[in-house]
Amino acid sequence: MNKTNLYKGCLEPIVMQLLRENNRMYGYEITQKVKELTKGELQITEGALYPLLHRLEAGGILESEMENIGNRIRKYYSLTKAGKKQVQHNLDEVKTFLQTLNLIINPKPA
Amino acid sequence: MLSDKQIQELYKFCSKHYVSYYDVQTELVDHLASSVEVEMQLNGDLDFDKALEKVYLSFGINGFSTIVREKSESLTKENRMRMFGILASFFKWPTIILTGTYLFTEVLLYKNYGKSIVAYFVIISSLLTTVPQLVNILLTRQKPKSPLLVNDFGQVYLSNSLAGIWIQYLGFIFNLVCVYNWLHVDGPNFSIVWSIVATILLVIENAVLMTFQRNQNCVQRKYPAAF
Repeated sequence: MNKTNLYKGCLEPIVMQLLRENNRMYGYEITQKVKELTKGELQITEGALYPLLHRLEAGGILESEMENIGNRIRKYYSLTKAGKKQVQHNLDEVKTFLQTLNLIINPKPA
Repeated sequence: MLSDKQIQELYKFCSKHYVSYYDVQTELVDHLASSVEVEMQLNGDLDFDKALEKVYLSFGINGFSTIVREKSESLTKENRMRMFGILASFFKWPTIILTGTYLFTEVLLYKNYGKSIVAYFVIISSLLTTVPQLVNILLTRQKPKSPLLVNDFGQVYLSNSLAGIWIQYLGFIFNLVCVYNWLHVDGPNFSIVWSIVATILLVIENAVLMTFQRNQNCVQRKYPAAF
């Protein structure tokens, strides 16, 4: 089974949780952090990450700021007030999903 | 750390792959640069071009196209929401008093002075409320060095060109002339209905201009280095 498909629905809470913990991050940093935390098990593709970041920014969940870092400009993302409220709700949904999945994978003996 | 020349190469690389917008380009250049730096660090034999080729492959078969398309769609949605929010405010307290007063004035003028006066009132009031906004947009506008991806009115509007707002405003003037003709020239006696049409037209145009101004302010505040 394709691992990426399994994680796809969880990308949004993962990114939001990372931003909550790290205050502000840039795209490449997010991909590397996820890789590091999951010991390479989960690798976020750029084609999935950036559209998600742009969508969340357009939706008022994230805000961004540009910073000059030597010879290039870096775009940092952080959670807005609305985003901070939303992140806990998203994590609760993931937890409920995992519990439900567990009921199917490990059914309790009758 | 990549050299200035290599960073410029990355900008050219993005343009070559149809990412010509400043905001998306800046982000992708930084991503490519960070990845290329790591690749070159891990593999000393790898030159810049080979490292870039390797990094670009990680973007998948569609390359940058999915990112640009989805960015455009997100902005369309954001702008639509922004414009609907402004539009709705004309029918909410306290702005609804202004909208209602405008419509009521048209009806009063129609009843007391006839439809010709209403036609003049519509034209003058429309110009008085929209022209200052248009002038303000032109005066506060800073020309970006390269196009910015700013979706407006459902279409990609390049903010280094003002074509979008001019085409849109000419459309409004055309509609206004049509309404004026219906109100002024002898025709079906539906002047009150046309007064309502004129009010709606004016409210929509004001919302469009306000959205445009907010978008302009937003990109100028968010991407100061682009101007």
